Formats: sequence, structure tokens, C-alpha cells
Amino acid sequence: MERAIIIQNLTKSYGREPVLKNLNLDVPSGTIFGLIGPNGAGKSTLIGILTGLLTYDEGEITINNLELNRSNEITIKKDIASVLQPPLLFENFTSIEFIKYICEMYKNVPDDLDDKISSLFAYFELEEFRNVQAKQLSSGSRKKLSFCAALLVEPKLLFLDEPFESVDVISIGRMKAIIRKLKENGTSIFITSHILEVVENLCDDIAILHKGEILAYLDSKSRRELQKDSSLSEIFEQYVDVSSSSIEALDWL
Amino acid sequence: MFKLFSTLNAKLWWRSLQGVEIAAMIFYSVFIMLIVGQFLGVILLLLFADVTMAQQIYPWITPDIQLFANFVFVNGLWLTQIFFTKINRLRINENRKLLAFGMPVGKLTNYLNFAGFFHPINFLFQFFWLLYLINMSQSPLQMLVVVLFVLANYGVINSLKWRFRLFSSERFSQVGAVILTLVLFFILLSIYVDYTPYFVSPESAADALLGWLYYSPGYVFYYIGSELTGLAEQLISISVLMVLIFYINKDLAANTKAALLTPPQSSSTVQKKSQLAGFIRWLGHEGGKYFYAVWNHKYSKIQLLITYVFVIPYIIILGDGTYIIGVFLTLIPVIFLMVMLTNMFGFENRELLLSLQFPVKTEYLVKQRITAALLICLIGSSIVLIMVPVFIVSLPVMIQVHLGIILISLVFMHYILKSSINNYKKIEEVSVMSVSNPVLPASITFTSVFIVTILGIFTFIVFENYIWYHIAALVVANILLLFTLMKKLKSISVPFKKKVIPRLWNEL
Repeated sequence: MERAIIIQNLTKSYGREPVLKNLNLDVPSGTIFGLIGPNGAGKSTLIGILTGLLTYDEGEITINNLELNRSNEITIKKDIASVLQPPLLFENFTSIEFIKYICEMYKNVPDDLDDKISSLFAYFELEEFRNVQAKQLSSGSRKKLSFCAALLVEPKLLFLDEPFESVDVISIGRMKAIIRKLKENGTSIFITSHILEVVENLCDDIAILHKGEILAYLDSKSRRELQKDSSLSEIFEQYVDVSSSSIEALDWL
Repeated sequence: MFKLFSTLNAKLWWRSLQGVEIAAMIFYSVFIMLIVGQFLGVILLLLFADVTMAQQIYPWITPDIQLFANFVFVNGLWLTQIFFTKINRLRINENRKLLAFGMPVGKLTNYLNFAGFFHPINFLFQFFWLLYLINMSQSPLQMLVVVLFVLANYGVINSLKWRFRLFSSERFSQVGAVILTLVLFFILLSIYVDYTPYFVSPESAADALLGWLYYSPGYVFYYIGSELTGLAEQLISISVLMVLIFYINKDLAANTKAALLTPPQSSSTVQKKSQLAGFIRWLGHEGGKYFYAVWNHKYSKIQLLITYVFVIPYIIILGDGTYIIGVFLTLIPVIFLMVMLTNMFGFENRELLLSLQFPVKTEYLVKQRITAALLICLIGSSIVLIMVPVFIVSLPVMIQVHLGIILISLVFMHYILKSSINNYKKIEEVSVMSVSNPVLPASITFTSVFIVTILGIFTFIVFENYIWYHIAALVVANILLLFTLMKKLKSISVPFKKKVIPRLWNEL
């Protein structure tokens, strides 16, 4: 099977504190991959590294069959897009200026761009915010706008960091539908989340990241086996030691 | 609760002190001490110098001249107070968080207003007024009027300044047009009116101006301190001032409260037209985007306008020496550089992370931003090229001044570029309250003026016999500075990646 991402022995520290420890991970192409882990596990740092924003100390990363290094950086970036948490927008730009700017930067300005934007804005009910500056949008609309921009870039690999945070239920459903459609079209999707329900129904393969280490890799087959007897939440608790965090300790409450 | 409030703000202030800010604080303190010394000296002279005794040393001092000096002083102090009164309420965005931890909004409002009143600069002005006016007063009741008047004066200045800042940030074009018209008027006035009689001797100045000064705002202070001696007058003044203070206090509290409770982005407004496309066309995608962010900051335009408004009339009125002309003209490119380059990576801190994800080389992004900033500075400062030949006739001196301005600008460019990497700081969200959080803090502006003044000694003073050697030295220094700057620009993306990006990421 082709791999969208191959990570080998990746190490990253902030000062003396290691955030990612000798991490190894393969993400299959054309699938929806979920990386779950508690707060501070290193999920966002990993996305930062994979999207080329952060440097790393040691290890090797291959994205879409190209090694992530200085010479391949631009080629790799052409085929990836991301929606970070909180979403990054150009605050003084209006929604339409923002979308068009992103497409121009990716040199992806098809003739029917305006039609595509209109249909996406209509789908996500962003039409009324077309000429509103990003800084004036609500957090849900910001997330949807960032998602729209990522779609219009037509990436081969899409990174979604906590994609459904602050988004209303209807829009979450619509985003999920789009993610599934992207997968059908061959796009690889990399989702990180600390909310297990988000990834449970959407993702094919799941990895559990805790304190900078991959504790488990559950492909769709092994997940089916395991989830016969227990929920993803219970599986997660087996790997991430939660015994020290007992409610009994809070008897003063 | 006040203890919590004080501890929070003391910690915020202490932790904000780093690198360049400490230097700025020191320079600013020196400046304030100079001002304090000046004002105190004048007050002591005006209050305690006996005219007859002083006449033995300076025979030209007459009671009229002393009165004239008093009037000039009160008006000068009042105008300085208008310019320097700080209307900020500490770090409102941080203090606002206290509301979430149970601090009542009314209490926090009062604390912030109290802190604003006791800001060292504001406090100094109250101190000067009280020292001057109370010493002139003849009865405790008159002293009470003085105290109330000083309080009301602070409140009125604060309230009006607040409204002016809000008004001007929203209606830049109208305010800009009015200010420019006024400046033009004064320039024409300075050309066509002969000021010589006013400067020939204090006597002629007093003769010509004393009558007019009775109608100046400063006279009200003088009158209250020296001539408001009737009981009825004093009682009426006290009642009127108390009512005034009550309403001003209410107004200040309402402003602070509104700023505390109004989120930075209050409503969504539809924007059909924008200059973004034009900026991108001229300065490139990243350069245009960066300039658009600077241009959209509420105070950039005002800051740049003030640059011209203050610098050019000063040269016209005071510019009778190469040094003064050089120093003032240098302020134009320096302020442009500071507005455009200071905090280059903090203007749209988080947004920069998005730009870094584009399939474009980081080196290209960073260089395009800096090139755009320099281009804007060059265009904005081109007036210097015209102004030097207007004021300086001699060709060698003209060349020397030009080279001097370039030298100081290059020094600042080096410094600001380094500082934008090392002293990276995110600009706080602009809320209603942070109208007093302009692009350049006053301390940085004063520090820069100080540095320009010192560097000006080496560049603008003309040694006629050695002028060509001086010019040669300036050329060499400029070439060296330019060469090292280009080298720095070439490798600027390296420290950017190492220092700025991790901080940007941490803020995410």
C-alpha cells in the first residue's frame, strides 16, 4: 500500500523537554487517518513539523514519496493544505479576498474559481460573510472559511487539527461529508483530535499518541476486532494510564 | 481586590521589561527628568524671584515681562499636558480577564481610572500645577478651587483626547485634511508674517503679546491661582467645579467600562472596497499583505501624518542651522522605518504562520516583506530630497546633510531589523481602549529622537575647512553600513526561522 506519510525516528524537543520521542508512523494514502491523544501529547507539534512550520531535531519524514528537506520543501507544500486549531486567517482580509489570495499563492486559480467559491460558501452558509473581514467572523465561521480555503487548493494531503471544534452540528455533518468525498477522490486526510467520538466513525486507521510516543496503531481491521468488546474510549484508556487521575482524589468537591 | 489588581499589573509591567524596552525606559526617564528640571526651574523662578532684585542683574526684567513669562509658562505647561497626558488604562486586555475571575466591573473601572490618574507622567503635571498655583493662592478656599480646577482640567483633557483619538482613527481622511490645512496655514503665516519684533527682546514680545495672552487658556489657570480672591467667586467656582468633576468622572468611568466590556470586534461590517489588490499589485503578495496590515492598523496613518505635521513646520520655524535641519529631516525616514519595520513579525503574528505554509520559499517571503517596507519608507521619505536643497544653499553642505541622513537611516535600519527578530512581540488586539496603544510607544519615539540627536553631532555639524574629508568619511561609513545591511538581509531568514517561528507557534 502507498504511504502518504512515513515518519522514522522523529525527535523534537523544546529546549530540554522532549515533545516527540523517536516517533515512527506510516499513514496510508487515500485514507482518513486519525491521531488521537490527550492534551499535550504532541499532536499539534507533529502537524507543525509535517506542514513545514516547525523544525525537528532528528529523524526522517517522507510526504507523498518525497523526503521533507530544503530542496523538496516547496514541491511538498504544493500538495498539502491544513486547517489548524485555532484556524489561521488573514484578519484584515475579507472572506473572498482571503480565499482568492490563498489560491493565488498556491497558483491554483482555475477559470471557474468564482463558481467553486460560491458553491462552497452556499454549502457552509458563508455567503453573507463574503465581504466581511476575517477578524469579524465568529469562531465557527473562521473554521469553515479556513476549511473552504484548504479545499480550493485541491491538496493531495489534507491536515485537519481539531477540525470540528467551535463548529455547529449541521456544519460538522457537512464537513464530514466533504471529508468522505475527498477520500473517495483519493485525497489523504490526517486528522488530530482529543475527542474520540470525532474520529471513531470517520477515520480508517487510528494511532494513539501520548507523551510524544505512539502507543498503539489500530488499522481498520484491528479496530473492528477490538471494538467488538469495548469502545474506542475504553481502548484509549487501556493505553493511556489514567489510574492516577481518580475522581476520589477530589473528595473536597 | 486592589491588592490583586496591583500585583497583576506590577508583574505584567516587570515582565514586559526586556532588551530594548529597558533602554527605552532609561532614555524616556532621562527625558522626563529633563522636563521636570525645566518646569521646576521655571516655576521656582517665576514664583520666588523678586523683580526688583532680578532687575539688578537683568535690568530688562519688568513686572510686565514677569507677567508675560508667567502667561507663557501656564500656556506652555497646559499645551504640554495636552500632548503628553496618557489616556491608557494599564494593559486593559490583560485586566479585562479579571472580570472572569469575579472582579466587579465597577471596581475594576475605578482601579483602572485611578491607575491612569497616577501614571507618572499624568501625576507630574498635576504636581506642577499644584506647586505653581497653590504657592500663588492666598487662602485655603482658593487652594481648594485650585485643587478642583486641576482635577477637572485632567478629566477634561483625558475625555477630549479619548474622543479625538477614537474619532480620528475612524475618520482619518477628514482629520488628516484638517490638520494638513492648518499646517499649510501656519507655514504660509510663517512665511508672510514678520516674527522678528517678538524675538528681538522680551520687552517687545511682552508689549506685543501680553494683551492677547489674557484670552489664552493658560490665563484661566493664572487667574484662579492669583486673582480669584473674592469669597463669592470662590464659592461659585467650587460648586461649578464639583458638578463638572462629578460628570467628568462619570464620563471617564463610562468610557473605561465600555472599553472593558466591548470586545475588540463588535460587529461585522460588509466591506466592498479595499486597497489590498492595489498593494499586492505594487508590492507583491507577501509585501502587499504586510503593508495592508500596517496600513490598516488604526494609528499607522496618524503616526505618519504626525511625522510630517511636526517635522516640517519645526524646520520652517527653527531651521536656521544645518544641525537642526539635518536632525529634524532625519526624523522623517527614521519614523517611517520604525512604523514599517518595528515589530515586523508581530503585526500579523499568527497570520504569518499561514504564509509559511504556502509553497513559497521562506527567504522569499521574509525578503519581500522587508523590501516592501523599505520601498514605502523610501517613497514616504522622498520629501527629504526636496527639503534639503530648499533650506541649504551650499552644495557641499547639501551633500553632507544628505549623506548624514542616509547614514542615520542605515544605522536605524540595522537596529530595527535586529530588533524585529530579537524583540519580537505580538501587537495586542486593538480594542476601544487601546487607542493609546499606538504603533510606536512614546518611550521608543523619544529614545530614537535622542539617538538621532547624538548621531547628528557626528553627521550634520559642518567643519568648513574639512568638509570634503567629512563627506568622504560619510561615504565610506554609508558603503560599509549598506554592505553589512545587504549581508544581513541575505541571511535574515535564518534567525527568523530559529527565533521568530517558534514564538509564533507557541502563540498559536
